[in-house]
Amino acid sequence: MSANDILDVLNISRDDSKQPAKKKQKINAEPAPRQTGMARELYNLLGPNTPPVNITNLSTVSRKDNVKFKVSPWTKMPFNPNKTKKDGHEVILNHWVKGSKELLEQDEKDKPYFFDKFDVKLDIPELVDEDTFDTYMEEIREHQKKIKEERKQREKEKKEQEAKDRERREKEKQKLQEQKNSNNSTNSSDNKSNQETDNAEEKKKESNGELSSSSNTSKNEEITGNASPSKVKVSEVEANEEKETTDAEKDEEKPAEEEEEDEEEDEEYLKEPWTYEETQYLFDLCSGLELKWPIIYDRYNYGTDRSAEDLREQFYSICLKILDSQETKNPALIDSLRAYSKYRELDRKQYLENLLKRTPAEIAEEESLVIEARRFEMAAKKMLLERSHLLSLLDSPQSTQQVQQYLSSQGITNLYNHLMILDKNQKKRQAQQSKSQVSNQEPVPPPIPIAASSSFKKDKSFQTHLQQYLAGVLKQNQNANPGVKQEANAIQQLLMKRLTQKEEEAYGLFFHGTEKLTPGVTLRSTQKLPGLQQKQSVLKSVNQVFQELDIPTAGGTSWKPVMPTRKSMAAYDDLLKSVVALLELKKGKDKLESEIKLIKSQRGLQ
Amino acid sequence: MSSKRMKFISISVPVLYGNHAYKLTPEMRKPTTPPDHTHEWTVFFKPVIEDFDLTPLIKKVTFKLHETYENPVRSIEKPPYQVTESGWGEFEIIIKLHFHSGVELGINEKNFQIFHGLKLHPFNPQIQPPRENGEVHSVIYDELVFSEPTEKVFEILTNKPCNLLPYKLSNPDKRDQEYTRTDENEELARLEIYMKKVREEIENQRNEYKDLEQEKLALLQ
Repeated sequence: MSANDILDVLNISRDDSKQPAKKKQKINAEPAPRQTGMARELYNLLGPNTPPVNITNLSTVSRKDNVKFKVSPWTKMPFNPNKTKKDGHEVILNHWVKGSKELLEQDEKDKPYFFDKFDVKLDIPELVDEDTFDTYMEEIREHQKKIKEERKQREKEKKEQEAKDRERREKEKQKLQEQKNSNNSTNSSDNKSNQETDNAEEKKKESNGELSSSSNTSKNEEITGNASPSKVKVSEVEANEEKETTDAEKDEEKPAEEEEEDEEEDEEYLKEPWTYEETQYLFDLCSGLELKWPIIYDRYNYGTDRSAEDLREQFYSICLKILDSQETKNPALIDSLRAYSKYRELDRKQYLENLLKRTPAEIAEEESLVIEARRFEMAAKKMLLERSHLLSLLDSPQSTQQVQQYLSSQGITNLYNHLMILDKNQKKRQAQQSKSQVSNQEPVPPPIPIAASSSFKKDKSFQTHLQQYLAGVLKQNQNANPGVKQEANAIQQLLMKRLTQKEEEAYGLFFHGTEKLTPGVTLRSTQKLPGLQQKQSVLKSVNQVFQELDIPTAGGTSWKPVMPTRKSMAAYDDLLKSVVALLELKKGKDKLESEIKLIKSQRGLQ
Repeated sequence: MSSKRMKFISISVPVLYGNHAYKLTPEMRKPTTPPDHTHEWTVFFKPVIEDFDLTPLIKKVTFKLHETYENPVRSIEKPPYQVTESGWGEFEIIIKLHFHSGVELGINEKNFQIFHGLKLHPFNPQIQPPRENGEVHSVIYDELVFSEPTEKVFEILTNKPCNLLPYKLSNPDKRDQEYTRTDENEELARLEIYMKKVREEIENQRNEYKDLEQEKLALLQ
């Protein structure tokens, strides 16, 4: 059964034009290899839409490939990972390798173990003999003493600095207090004092930063000159005294911390010094554990109480000495070794620990402080912006024309309108600027508005609304057909005259702004002003009101100005509107009166 | 291009229309004048500035008289746009302005009608005392307002300032025939006074309203 048979059964007739083409296809298809892998009947059911993939060919090809493919041999080979090492233990392990056994066994003898290249040893200097070690240790001790002394000196200076700061702060506070008293404005001064304290904190931080950096440099200095320990003691005592006298007001944490430090320092003297054996032990561990300090610290078991920092310090300082004495120096490495400071490391760890130990309340407080600080920043930025606006406002456009024209009320409204437009433009510009600022995230004070700049004053004299509008129209026209020369254009000519508002009126011109107009000709007296579009009945009662108010209505029901000019009609329109409002009010009053009457009568009955 | 409308703009042309009427004297009568006609009148339409040329804009002005007149629609193609006739009765005259048509001209305004009631007899004696010689002048001031004029109309109308109302009457005798800027100002002043009155009244009413409200509240409590 072919597709044609099916189509016959379903009574679908094919176009005759397609028939011959079908036959042709059949003829062409005959030399093609016989369809296999699919029942002929089924294949015929596919109809003229033959599948895109040739089913038969595929199967034959894959079968051929299967025949060609040969299994590659894999061999389980024994290997010794410690083969190249001299003191390596004899360990035999097995793994699978691709290839035949004979071939692999041949290769294996002269090949090193493949993964050997990943077994890298750290380049750690060998520990020197005991004598040189002793001299090194002596030098190191002296160096440490010197550093300590310098630290003391720094701290002392810092204390003095802080004392000065505090004095100044107190003075400022006093001043503020005075200001507060005089101003009686608690809010602003609160802010100020907050800012003050902020500043002070910042200063503290700065001085801390200075201290650390300077101590850093001091470490980098070559060891020169000796400092006697007694001197150190003296300065220490002095420092302590300073602390006690000046730190009374300070946060309680700080002095406590420092006292701890002092104790530590004292302990250091009590601690047993590094022996050669212990250092040897440390070096062995370091090379064995590849300088992984946490692990070294964990495994360190020599019977002495040493912190991780102690271990590192000892190792680094000894290495520094050894490398320094070698002929081939690596200055970068030596510098980086010198950069290690046990105290800073301790500080760092302490700091991190504190950070970790913060309670959620503290974290929240910190965040709120940050937010507040940011708010202060924003306020400052805003103030700057406002100030710049104010400055630009001060540079207001100066009139190039006589003041006379603004003396009449009409002139003033004209001026007002013009200024409104300027203001609007300015606001728009500002909005755009603020948008761009959002993207920039930088508080750039806006440039001086064009209207206020001096160049504006020069080339653009004052224009009325109409003229501004007309200029716009003209521009549009020119843009629309730039090829056409617009000589003797009425608009242009009018603009050339540079009319004042009064003169425009003489031309009967009026700019309606955004008011909706219906194009066409009307008489002024029948113009559809909003107040005039009242019902006849309303107009009647309006006339009544007019009569009540002694306004002459000429007897008629539709009184209008005798001279319907634009101004008079506008005034008339206003009049009508307010009369309508009056009527509404009267209606409301009447209603209220009747309600009161009703209530009164009800009360009277009760 | 010139027929493009200019948005947000209106141009107004102050015009006068109306009629003059004189009592027919025996000397004025012509042989053709019907014996029952008592008045000779002239109906007219003109810009306030008389030498302002409206011909580029207005093709013709037709005056539609009472049907009993011979050839009741009188068409005038050149200024002065006026028709003089004699008669005995008052009726409404339709003054129709025909603007130049044709797309190429770009005026594109529909013809415009003004209705004028012919006045032969003195009216509104309170405002104007009737003239002794029986002359009646019913002259009405109005403004033709071109809202969103085409550029062509704009060009024609800005050719010359047409809104320059005189401040003084050309002749004190023509009080009932001319309108001046002073009249406008007086009218504005009057409207201002009315406005004041209405505002005062509104204020009074509002106070009363408030009092009543208080009263009502007091009653309800």
